[in-house]
Amino acid sequence: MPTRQSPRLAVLLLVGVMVALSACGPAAESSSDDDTTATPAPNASPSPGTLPVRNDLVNPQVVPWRTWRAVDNRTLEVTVTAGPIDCYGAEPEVAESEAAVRVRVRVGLLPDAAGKECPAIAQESVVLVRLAAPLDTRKVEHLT
Amino acid sequence: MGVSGRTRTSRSNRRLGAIALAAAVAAILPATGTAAVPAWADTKPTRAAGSDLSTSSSLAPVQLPGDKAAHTYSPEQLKAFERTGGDPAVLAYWTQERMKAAKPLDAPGDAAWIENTARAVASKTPAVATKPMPATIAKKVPNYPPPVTNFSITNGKLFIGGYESGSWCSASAINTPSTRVLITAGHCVHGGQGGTWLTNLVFVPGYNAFNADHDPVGRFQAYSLRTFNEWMNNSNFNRDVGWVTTFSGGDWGATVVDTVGGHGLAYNGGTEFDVSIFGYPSNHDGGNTMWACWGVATDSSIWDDRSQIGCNFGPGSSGGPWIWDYDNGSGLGWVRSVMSTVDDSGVNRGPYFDTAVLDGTNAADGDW
Repeated sequence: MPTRQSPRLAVLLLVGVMVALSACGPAAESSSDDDTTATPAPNASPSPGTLPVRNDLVNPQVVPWRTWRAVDNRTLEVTVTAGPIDCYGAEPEVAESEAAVRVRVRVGLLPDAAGKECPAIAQESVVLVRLAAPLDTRKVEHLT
Repeated sequence: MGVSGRTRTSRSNRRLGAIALAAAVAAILPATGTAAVPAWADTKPTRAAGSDLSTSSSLAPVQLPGDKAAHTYSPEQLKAFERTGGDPAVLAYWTQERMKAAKPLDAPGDAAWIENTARAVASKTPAVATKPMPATIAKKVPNYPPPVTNFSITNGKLFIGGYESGSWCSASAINTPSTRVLITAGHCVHGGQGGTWLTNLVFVPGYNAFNADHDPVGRFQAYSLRTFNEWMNNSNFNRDVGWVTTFSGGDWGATVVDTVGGHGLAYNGGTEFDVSIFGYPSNHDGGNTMWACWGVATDSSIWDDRSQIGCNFGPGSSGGPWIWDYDNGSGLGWVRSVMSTVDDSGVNRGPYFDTAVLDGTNAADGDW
């Protein structure tokens, strides 16, 4: 599980690497390391981001969620793969019965991502799913 | 412009001869003619290629469950990984639960057929391309390339966060003296401005989740990562190129190019060229199998140094090679750009390869 790292840590790591590899590694980039030091605090966290929940996504497609956990008794968090969270959003759909909570997630471009380029990386992100009734001991299943 | 064909790999792999060929050909979609694509007015204007042509590298960070920060291997561990093919925790940790979670979604069909298919794939015939060579076709009108019928395992899926993680890019092996270098997008190794190096990268040549054997020739763990400072500091898409230098690994404990061959590298050519593109876009088969798209790449805009083509390759295709003069026979060609971005009209773009890309490649080769 990737977690948040400060740029300072990355720089320390880089310096450590360059010390370790000084015999054979790249050693000519110290000035650009200084540039890295001056960058602002991270705004793109490597930890799983949360996809904005919207009902106005562009061309939403059903994507299979992979894992789930209960944030509290009325909120599930499911993991899906999508593009970067500043370009993509999610639209969860829930069907609840006495025995089970069935969840389906659609993923699509955010309306304000129209006309914008997005890095074509696939990122695992989480989607918050609100339940109408407490989860309690009900099973969580894929809605098909 | 933007005229392209695209198709997915068949369930089988390229070594399967007639079956693969027939299936792949049958799956070819009609060439999609996209209308003239306007040059984009970016909301965030990209700069012209930055003056900083240098690259930086880092040992590939690893973060295991329970680790609060990136993990540092001891020199003894690094040596051992070179013998054993990497850290089992990175290469296999996710497999059990991830595969369990994935199974119901893409239940394979005929189990016996898949088993036979998987067996047929397991033959090792490494091929090595010629050394990187400069493109010299800048003034020639590109020819429409032939359809892709060979989903070469020189290309593969680049998992971020461990094998079969839900985050990934695409990558390909290129032929360098160390035989260990992959080329991909810069944002597949580093988060760009304000970001950090990405963790637990694993390259799986010819990955195919529709086969019983998802990794036909095994897995290669990242040893070090490299990208342009211009990407790290400014998220400049003109410099969205990354390199991964890998441990020996795979099913034979060999280097990646010795196992699957390596493409050449073309640079200083024009931005318009015949191209065959490979990758794992999540909007096609969920990124479970390799897709290809081919056509003529055109110049993206006078405002940047990039090529573009309308492949509609979505998230996960990043880093996949844009191969010039791709040869279906050998499964090799010359990487001349890499997948970088997609927009809402399905236009993909990739950075221009100049001498700085060759320099970065040589530096990545020296990272080992």
